[in-house]
Amino acid sequence: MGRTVQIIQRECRDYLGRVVDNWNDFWFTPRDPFAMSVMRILVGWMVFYTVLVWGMRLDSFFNVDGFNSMEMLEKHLLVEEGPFALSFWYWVPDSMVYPVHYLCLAVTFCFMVGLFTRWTSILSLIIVISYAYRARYANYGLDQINAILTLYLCIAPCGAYLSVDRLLRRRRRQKSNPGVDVAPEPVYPTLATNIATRMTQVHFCVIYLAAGLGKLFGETWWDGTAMWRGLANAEYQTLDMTWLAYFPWFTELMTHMTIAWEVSFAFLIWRPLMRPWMLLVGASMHFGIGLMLGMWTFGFCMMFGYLAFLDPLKLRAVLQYVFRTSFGPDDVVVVPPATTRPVPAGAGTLEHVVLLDHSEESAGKTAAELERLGAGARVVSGLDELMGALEDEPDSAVIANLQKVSAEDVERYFCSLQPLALQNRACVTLMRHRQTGWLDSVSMPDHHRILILPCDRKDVINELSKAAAYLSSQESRSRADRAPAVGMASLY
Amino acid sequence: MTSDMTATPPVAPVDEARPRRRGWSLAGFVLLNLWIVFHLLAVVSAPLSVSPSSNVERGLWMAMSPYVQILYQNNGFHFFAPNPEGSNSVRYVLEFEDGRTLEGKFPNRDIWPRLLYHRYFMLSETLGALGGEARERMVRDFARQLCRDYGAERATLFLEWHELARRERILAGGSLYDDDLYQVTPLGTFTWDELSKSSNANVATTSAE
Repeated sequence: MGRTVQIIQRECRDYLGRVVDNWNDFWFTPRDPFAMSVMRILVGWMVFYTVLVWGMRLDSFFNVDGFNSMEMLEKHLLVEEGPFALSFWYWVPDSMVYPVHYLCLAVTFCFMVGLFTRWTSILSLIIVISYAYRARYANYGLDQINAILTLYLCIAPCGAYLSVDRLLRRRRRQKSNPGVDVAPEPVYPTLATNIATRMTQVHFCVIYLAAGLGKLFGETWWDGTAMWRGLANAEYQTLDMTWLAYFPWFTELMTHMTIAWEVSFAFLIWRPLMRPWMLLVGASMHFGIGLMLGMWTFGFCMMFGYLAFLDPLKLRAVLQYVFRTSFGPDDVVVVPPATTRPVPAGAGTLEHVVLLDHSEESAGKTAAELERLGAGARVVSGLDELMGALEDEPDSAVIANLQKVSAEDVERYFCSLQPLALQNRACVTLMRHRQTGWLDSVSMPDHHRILILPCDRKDVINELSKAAAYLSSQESRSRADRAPAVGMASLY
Repeated sequence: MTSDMTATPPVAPVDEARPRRRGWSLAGFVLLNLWIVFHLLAVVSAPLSVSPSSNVERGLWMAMSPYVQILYQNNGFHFFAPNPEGSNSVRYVLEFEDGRTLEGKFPNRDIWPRLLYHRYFMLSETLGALGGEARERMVRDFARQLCRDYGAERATLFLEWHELARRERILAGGSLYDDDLYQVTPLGTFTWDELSKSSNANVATTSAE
């Protein structure tokens, strides 16, 4: 009985640990801000354009007694929606409407080009919300999506790339280093970017799920006539699509596909194989709505949000290729070409690598990658085996994948192995967030690199070669000159 | 070695990858997590509150409403739901001091760019959806603004409902613009004097409040 309880307790602890790991991986894995920077330009442009178009009928929509009169807002909007539907326009007198509007245009333009991005992003959010509430009766989906995306762009460091801020920073560095060709500063992945990206992703899932479930109440979405009804709305229509009356199967199919796509988006978008298709269908749908119903701005804005679902590094690589330019130094992201062995001359310690990995498949792939680079690998699957292998091969480097080992083994690894057997070896340890508590309590030399998920094989080998190079350079110096190996390892 | 779907695969600086260790106290980290959960609840509360909804859903909405209102995240996202319906337009006849009259309608295809067209379209759609005192007030706002825009002395407004044409109508040779698809409801006639006086009174009331 006692044994059963222990097993249940252990299983529960394991399960909760995995839940915490997954939560942390999802929300707290640093992410490169490139995609959010591109999104800033596009959403910034849309916000600027929206404000610009309001300017064409500012008197009609924003005067105290215009189409959206203050009396109407006070007696109905603020009663129905509550006192928190705030807008700075409530306090702008008619005589100041245009100056305030021009100021808003300037701020949103700065946001678009990335000037004082941190501040202009927040101000742009205030502007988007204020315009939307003041002209509440003339709002539609575009204003909602503008507000959502601008909110998340306020959280992310969306001026990190492709911004005037970045140019100015580089210019300042150039001024302080005259005569030196200053490279663009590196941009590091950040937690804020990841949180903003995840929020955007989840929010888009909520939007599409709500849209899909809301449609399920309507019989026309079941009998297949909804798409026809949408296209037959003369006030929306920009292209005459009445010829589709002769092809009912087509409009019915489109109706069912729309529902299926909207309802399933929130579930299938997280599957890597389905993601491109979900985004492609979504982009086609919004493009179609833009073309046939004239809702280009809304459609584009939704598509801008899709950037949150793209890998920022792949997006960056593609745009760099397309525009034949570099958006910053690549040392954070680029793995050395396969033809170049990443081991620096003289290091020599990567001739043999001992690889601790509980997964045969993963270990096999890493070993193959090492072999391709000219290094032999010995695969072990437990700590005891690892200790034996290290005794046999005193010069070998180590790759240890601790992600699936027990808490006891992590403790053994840091308390017993690390100070002794690993002390003078190039070493890379892969860990999960949950396991990182040990890092505070041990001294870690700089040639011992810690990688926390996610990372791939090439990252691991690249870090191992950096560790080897570091170790090699330290060996060539006198012991007294060595950098103090205290605290956490720095990868750079 | 697993990898996340879209999260940054390359090497992350360790200090960046450890939110709890540098710059984040435990309390800060817990607060951040709580805010994430709170924000997610807020995000789903608005669509859930759209009728029909349960007491739990409405309760959640009430609890979250200050937060979502301030951030303008209070939208149900029920686009074209439950069914795509016909649309409303506002027709107007403006009379000028010299006896001229001008008939018009919004939205109309002359309004450019398309975004501005949609703004007018949403105005007429909102008017169509409103009833009672709110509709009356909005009609007066529309009449006042139209008189002001064109310099008219009197404005007569109508709400025009355009029913959708069924597929069978098109197959039988009809069109989306057949006369019987339109339903016109008179909204009233207003003079500029009366409208401008009520406007001044409202402005005075607003200021006093």
